[in-house]
Amino acid sequence: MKALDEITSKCSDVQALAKGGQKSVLSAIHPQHGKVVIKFGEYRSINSIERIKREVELLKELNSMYYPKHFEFIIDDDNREFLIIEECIDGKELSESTSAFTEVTAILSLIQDLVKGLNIIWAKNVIHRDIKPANILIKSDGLPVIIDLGIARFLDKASLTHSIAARGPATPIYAAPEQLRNRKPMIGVRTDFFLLGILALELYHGFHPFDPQKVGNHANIVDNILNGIYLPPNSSNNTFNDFIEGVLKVQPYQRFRLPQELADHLGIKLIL
Amino acid sequence: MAFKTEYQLTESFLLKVNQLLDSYIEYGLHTQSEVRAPGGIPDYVIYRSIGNSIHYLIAIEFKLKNWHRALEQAFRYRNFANEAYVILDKETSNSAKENIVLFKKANVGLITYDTSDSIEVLNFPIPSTPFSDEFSREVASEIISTNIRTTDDLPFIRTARGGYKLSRLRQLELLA
Amino acid sequence: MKIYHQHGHNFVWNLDSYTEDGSGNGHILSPVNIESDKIPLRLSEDIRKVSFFDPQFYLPHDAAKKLQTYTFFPKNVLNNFSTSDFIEQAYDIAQSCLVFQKELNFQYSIIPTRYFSELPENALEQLTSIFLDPFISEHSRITDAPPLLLTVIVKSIQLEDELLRSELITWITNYPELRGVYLIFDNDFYSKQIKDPEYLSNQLLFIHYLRQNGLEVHVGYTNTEGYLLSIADPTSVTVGAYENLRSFGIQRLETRESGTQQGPTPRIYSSKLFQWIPNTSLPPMRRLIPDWQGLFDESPYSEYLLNPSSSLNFNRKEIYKHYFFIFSRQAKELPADLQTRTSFVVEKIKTVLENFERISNHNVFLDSNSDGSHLTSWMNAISIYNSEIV
Repeated sequence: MKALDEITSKCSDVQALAKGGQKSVLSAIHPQHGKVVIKFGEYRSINSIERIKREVELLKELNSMYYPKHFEFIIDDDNREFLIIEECIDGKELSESTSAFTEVTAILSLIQDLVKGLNIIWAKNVIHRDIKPANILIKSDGLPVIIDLGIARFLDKASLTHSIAARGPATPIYAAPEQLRNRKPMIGVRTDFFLLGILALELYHGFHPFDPQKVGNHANIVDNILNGIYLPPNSSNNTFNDFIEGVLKVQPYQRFRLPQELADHLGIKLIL
Repeated sequence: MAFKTEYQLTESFLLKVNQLLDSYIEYGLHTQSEVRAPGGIPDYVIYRSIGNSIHYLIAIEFKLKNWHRALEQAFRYRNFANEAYVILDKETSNSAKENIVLFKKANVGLITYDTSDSIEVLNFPIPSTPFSDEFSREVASEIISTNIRTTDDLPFIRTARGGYKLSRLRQLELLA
Repeated sequence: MKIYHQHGHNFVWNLDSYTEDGSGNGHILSPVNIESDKIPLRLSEDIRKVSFFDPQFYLPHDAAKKLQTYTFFPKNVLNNFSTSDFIEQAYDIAQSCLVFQKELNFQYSIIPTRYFSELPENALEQLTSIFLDPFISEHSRITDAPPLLLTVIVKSIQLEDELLRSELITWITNYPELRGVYLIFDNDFYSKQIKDPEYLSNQLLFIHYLRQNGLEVHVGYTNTEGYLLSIADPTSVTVGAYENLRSFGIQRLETRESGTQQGPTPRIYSSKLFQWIPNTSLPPMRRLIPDWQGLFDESPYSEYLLNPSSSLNFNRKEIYKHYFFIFSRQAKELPADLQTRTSFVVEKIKTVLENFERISNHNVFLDSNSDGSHLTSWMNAISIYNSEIV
């Protein structure tokens, strides 16, 4: 990729971090931006490329403690390639920090932070779409940082189902029913609400809440998500229980509708 | 064997009726088809007129199958008719026969006819005053202004003009 | 539940009914029936404040004569009607249409829609690009613009198919900028009343979910089933004069509507029967049913309508003003609390069924478009609906 070659030639200490599916990740020291993470890959054709470009511009303007700074966000639609350079955050992936989130109050506190952070992009009509433990870093002070913003819009149904098929029926899947059905008009903030629900309930249980082996059926995770079959919490904390129930509804229109409603329920103030 | 079309049913039956009516010229009975009436257009009316006034009117609705709709229409004709009849193809009339009580309730006559010229009268209505003076006047005026006194104008019947005694209509059964 | 007058060719009847009889709460204007410059002349500001304007972009490539007077109507703006051409001009059209509505001080700003005879796979994406995004964007740039209502035509398949229904409701409720929807149900039923309980219960559910999401729901082109729909708490339903204003059909906008239509049998609305009774059924009722007048309502027009010497034809304004008067009164009597309202409506239906039984017992025959056969469907629809929302 031409843009990648140009950038890596400017950087030092370029190291491969991960590669999978359609994207690869590098870390490097950038002469201007310091320690950065570089994500790049190919995408299949995308509808509304103009809309994605508009979103990308908005994301470049993000200046919040909940997000790494976005330095570069390049879309090459001739070659169907994308490249993202963002600040490298000093923190651990959430999946490696689960011991800090065994109590419901800690989980709720994390969700409250995530909602505050996500509201910044929701207010700009941008949906994250890929909220999962691997995309949340926890800093040493406990603050969550949301990474990989923008990647999900390059993933289409084919890539999603390909990755599901490749990994087996109980492989953790972080997707809302409307994403699994690839119904674009249904994607909205409530899609992100659903993903927050999976995240929270997985921390609570210590396993994926739609896991058929835990739920006790012979389906697979995808079918359980599509049919709303999950292991509910058994907590005395009604705020948590009602949050889970209110975000994990199969039908988006039966979930909390607006960020403010969710914030009111969680007892937080949303500030832009 | 069933009639193929409603037109065939109508034409055959009216040929039959006119054979009978030929014998009763002096009673001042006349016929007309497709009279415009409030709420519907009866397939056929038989009326007795004296001068420019209508003294008695029978309205007839033919149907191949949909007896219930015919019954609804015939009941509406009682707004301006002294008697109303439904005439069905005998082949497809079983359902109507099973529901004869509805015809009695509605005071609407039911006659079946088949391709072998057989006529069966299953219900004779009780003659009654039309429900609506206003609708009766409208229909009478429509008939008189059209002024058809002969069945010659009907495309499928050519008989002598004449009048017929009303009660003799009941002798249709004897022709079967 | 409010009642809006659905305007058509004889909208002066609706206006008179509103001002003289106090029938209804507002009006829905039809540009097919009134030139743009006549609106402020025919409708006072007080009336416009409680009314809204349906842009009627349903057939954007067609412009009936009066639609040509609206500069923002697509036919007057576009060279061709490809989606890309539309998108290019969409923001200008939106701006012009919204400014028009604001300057006339209407109660709401209506986002139009287009009609699809067959629903394409990407219908919602098209509507988003052509209408929703441009109107929302332009609306935010107009100071004090009235709140937004989105026009949505709901096809039968979108009520029957769970996924399509879910998609449509989710799409509508995804936009916090919307105050509500102007809902139009498009179906192919031949009968004058809807007799499909599944269809009716799906309508109720559709309205219910939108209301649950905090949206106002204004249902257009409703007939007597508007009374049934009240149990799902719509913000408003409509009353319209001719039948083509009480059931949505795109033909109304394809052909010129004039005052001299083919004459159907005139029918009189009765809240005691939840039905329009043909005037040809009145003589047998008079003759055979004691106290038959108890089966009809009193209004400033009932004496004329029920008088045997009145020569009714379907063009008589009294028929429709009577209906506007009665139906508005029915809406006012509905209990505010939804649970009480449902019981109230059920009891009313039971009483109406008894009335029909009385008619039948007195040997008066009503045809399938005049009888109470739709009411069993209403009762079944209520049962199905109640079981779904528990």
